[in-house]
Amino acid sequence: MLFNSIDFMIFFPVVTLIYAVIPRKLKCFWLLAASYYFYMCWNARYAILIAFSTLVTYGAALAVEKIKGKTAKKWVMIGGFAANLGVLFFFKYFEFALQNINKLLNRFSFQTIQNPFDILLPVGISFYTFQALGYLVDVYRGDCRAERNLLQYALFVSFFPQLVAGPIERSGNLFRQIHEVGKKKMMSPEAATQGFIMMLWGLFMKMVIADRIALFVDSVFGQSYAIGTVEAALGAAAFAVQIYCDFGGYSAIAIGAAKVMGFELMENFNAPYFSTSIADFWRRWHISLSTWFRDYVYIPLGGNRGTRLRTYGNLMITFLLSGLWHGAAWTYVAWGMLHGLYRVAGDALKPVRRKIIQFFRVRTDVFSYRLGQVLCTFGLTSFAWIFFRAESMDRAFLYVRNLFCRWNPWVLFDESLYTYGLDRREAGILMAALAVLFLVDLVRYRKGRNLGEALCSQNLVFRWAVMILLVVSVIVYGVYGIDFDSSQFIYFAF
Amino acid sequence: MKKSALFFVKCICFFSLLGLVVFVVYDVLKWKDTTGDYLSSVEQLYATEDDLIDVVFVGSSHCYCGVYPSVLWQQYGIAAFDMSVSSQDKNSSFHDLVELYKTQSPSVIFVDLHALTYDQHLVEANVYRNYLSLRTSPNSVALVNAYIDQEERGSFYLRFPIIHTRYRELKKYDFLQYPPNTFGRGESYISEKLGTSWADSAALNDRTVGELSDLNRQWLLDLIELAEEHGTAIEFMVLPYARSPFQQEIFNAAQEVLNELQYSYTDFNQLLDELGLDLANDYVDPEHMNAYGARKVSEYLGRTIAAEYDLPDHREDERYWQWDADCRWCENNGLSIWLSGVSNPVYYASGIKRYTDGITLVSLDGDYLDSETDYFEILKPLGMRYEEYLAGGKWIYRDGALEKIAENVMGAEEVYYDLGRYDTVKLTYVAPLSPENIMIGREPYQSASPLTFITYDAVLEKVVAQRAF
Repeated sequence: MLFNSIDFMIFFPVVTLIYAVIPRKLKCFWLLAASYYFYMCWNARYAILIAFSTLVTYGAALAVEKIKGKTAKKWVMIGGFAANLGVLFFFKYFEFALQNINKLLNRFSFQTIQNPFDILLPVGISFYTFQALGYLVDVYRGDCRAERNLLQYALFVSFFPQLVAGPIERSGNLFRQIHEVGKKKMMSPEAATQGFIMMLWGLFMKMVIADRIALFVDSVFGQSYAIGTVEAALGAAAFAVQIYCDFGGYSAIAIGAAKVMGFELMENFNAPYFSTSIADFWRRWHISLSTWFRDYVYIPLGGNRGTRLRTYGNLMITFLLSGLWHGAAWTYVAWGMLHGLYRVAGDALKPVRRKIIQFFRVRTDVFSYRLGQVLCTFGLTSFAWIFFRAESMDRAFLYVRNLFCRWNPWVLFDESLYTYGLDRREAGILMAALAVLFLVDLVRYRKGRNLGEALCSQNLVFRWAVMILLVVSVIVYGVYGIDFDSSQFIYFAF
Repeated sequence: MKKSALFFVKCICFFSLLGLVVFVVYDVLKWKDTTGDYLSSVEQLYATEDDLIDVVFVGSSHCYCGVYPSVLWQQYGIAAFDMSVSSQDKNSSFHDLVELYKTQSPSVIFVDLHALTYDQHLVEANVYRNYLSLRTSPNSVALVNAYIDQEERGSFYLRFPIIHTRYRELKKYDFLQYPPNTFGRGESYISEKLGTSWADSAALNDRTVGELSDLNRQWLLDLIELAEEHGTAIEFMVLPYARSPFQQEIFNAAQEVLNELQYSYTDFNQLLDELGLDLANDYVDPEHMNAYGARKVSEYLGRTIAAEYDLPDHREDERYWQWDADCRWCENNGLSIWLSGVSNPVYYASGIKRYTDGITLVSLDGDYLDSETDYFEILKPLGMRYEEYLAGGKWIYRDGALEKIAENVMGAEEVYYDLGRYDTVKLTYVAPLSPENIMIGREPYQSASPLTFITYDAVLEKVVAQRAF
């Protein structure tokens, strides 16, 4: 059940209305039942996996808290990690690992191994597994107490708005709110309005922008053998926007849906393409994951407390793992590696940059300097996205080669760009939608407010007008349903 | 007021407003066409006052191309309605009749049996066209359930998943009602001629009786039951067209079944000679008749209905204004097509006198006084005076009167004349016979000849003929 499906449009209001009216003591149970139903809509058998992860981390956390010995605690935690990561590895990485082993075996003329399993990746497994493991580490560190109430813990792992695509919540934030469910009224008109606006905004990002720009991106990447510099650069930039609007839109719906029900989830995106450096980008992009890796991988590895070389090593490990978390392919690893290299190079070249700035007397407190930083950062992230989007490393290298070796500025003028999935009209709609996105992100960047908060501080007429415009934009210009051009075959005479 | 109560009231107001806006958007994007180019028999039905229709025809494009209610009205005052839609399938015709029965109590229904020859739509778009033009009701839901796969039904119920991409093709009549949909009676006016006979390519004399599938048999029984339920007589027919042996065998089988059940069945392919159908000139293609063929079939049907059913003549009844307007529309259509091809200016002038809804701009310019053609003789029947003729200029001919609206004087003030709600003619005098002398919208209309006729149809809201002599 995707957030932009009709099923969810029915499911969510029904769940919310019942949640609002039932007695407080039943609310947690109701949300848990709804969450499991939501998850089982993809595949009922997936529920076993989430239940397994829930029970293992629940038991491990209780054991970690109860056991006195430090080593025993550690082993219990390692056991919890191994069980969860084992499941994750099997479902997400087994085939990838086997493919690579077979490549090696092939190279040395050994017989390859047949995959005995037909594995289908369970939706959201990386998200809820990391959320549960984060909780286990928190209990191990003593940052939070082990949850006694299994029902509440199960809801923490499976809370449906953030179950399949995050944000990956922290135990402190979400547990506090789950504990309050049975004690006080959580829903409020203001929060419901803000949440509803966020949901509309998420749908707009996903259905009007992401799914429309995807037509261009798919066309450019699908013809990467034939494209030149301009198409390649635009394709990479377009994919940067696509993935932001796709994932950011989904996160906005998740955060909005939770907010309607009175839950405050952590922000996941904060105007990421206004970032002035790669470090800044990672403070604004997929915040719940980047902070997870920071807190549970980078800092335990030593963070920046050791030598510079060690710090760089820690950074590279963190980003490589982050890349691998996104998908079981070398392209994701390459994407992670590039970001690691950006961070390392950014830090290592800081003195050189400073000297250049001093030598040329560049003013750093002006708009033009920040704009340059923003554009450079966007360029670097867009370049890295090529590897994220490419179907294989070979295709990624082909794309990069064409990006740098086929200078063809005339395509900006001969209208051939309109043959890449978006005609003039669709491109116009996309540009208008991007202008709206830019404005909303600018407000987010300058004022620190998301659209829900910004609109709720405005007058009712303006707020309603924007909300209605969002709804109409989504139902008219959203990419969904049966996409046909009726003029081609409808208006013939008979 | 308590905060939560206020919020509740606000929610109701917001969602009501949202519903209204979405409804308006739906009204623009929705399907408005069942027979081609915005013409919709379903819309025409909805525009009809309750309990006016006496005779109904259902069927596919064969039917709306081949049966003209205007002919039955003109000759007998029979209030007939052609509720056929493009590629109307079995489910669609049944549920269209159910829709019709909601407001009408016809005496007789004629069913064109072309739908017996297919179970699935050949063109997917026709499914949308036929299934999304009905207003949402239990009947439209039942129609969707009868034909559409379960997983796709949601899109049909909600409609937006299918119709929302129509934003790419919106035209004037998505925002305004297409005028003929307010008065049309279901026919589609076509005057083009096929030019060659289709007799050789058709199974005209095949009397082999094929097999009638259970689905087809059930459809016939359902229609009979529906008609009986409403106390309506029902007759079956197959309109004349080039059929394959396979199709003819199905119709022969249907004839056997209907004979057994004692229901009337007419195969018009067996009446080609009796009707005097000219297979080259009465058809637009081997499957569809044009206006000339339709007149012959409709006249035959009129005679039959008048003889078999005791139906009242409604021609004096004001409530039946739509049938009058429909006749006028058919006549205007015929005239406009004729005018656009006429090569004799005298004929053109006499044509525009008969064009009830026509507004004709007459331009007399250039060295017409030196010409061998006597333009005055052409324009005199329209009411032009000789002094006016000598001066030249621009006139409007409408409602039987000629009115001068501009002189041929360089530098004269521009003249604007509204032809319709959205069209204005601008008259200036840049130079003799300059194209920009007559502008309709942003298009120049002045021809290089001394006499120009431009005829605008006030109902169709467009220029329908332009001739220069």
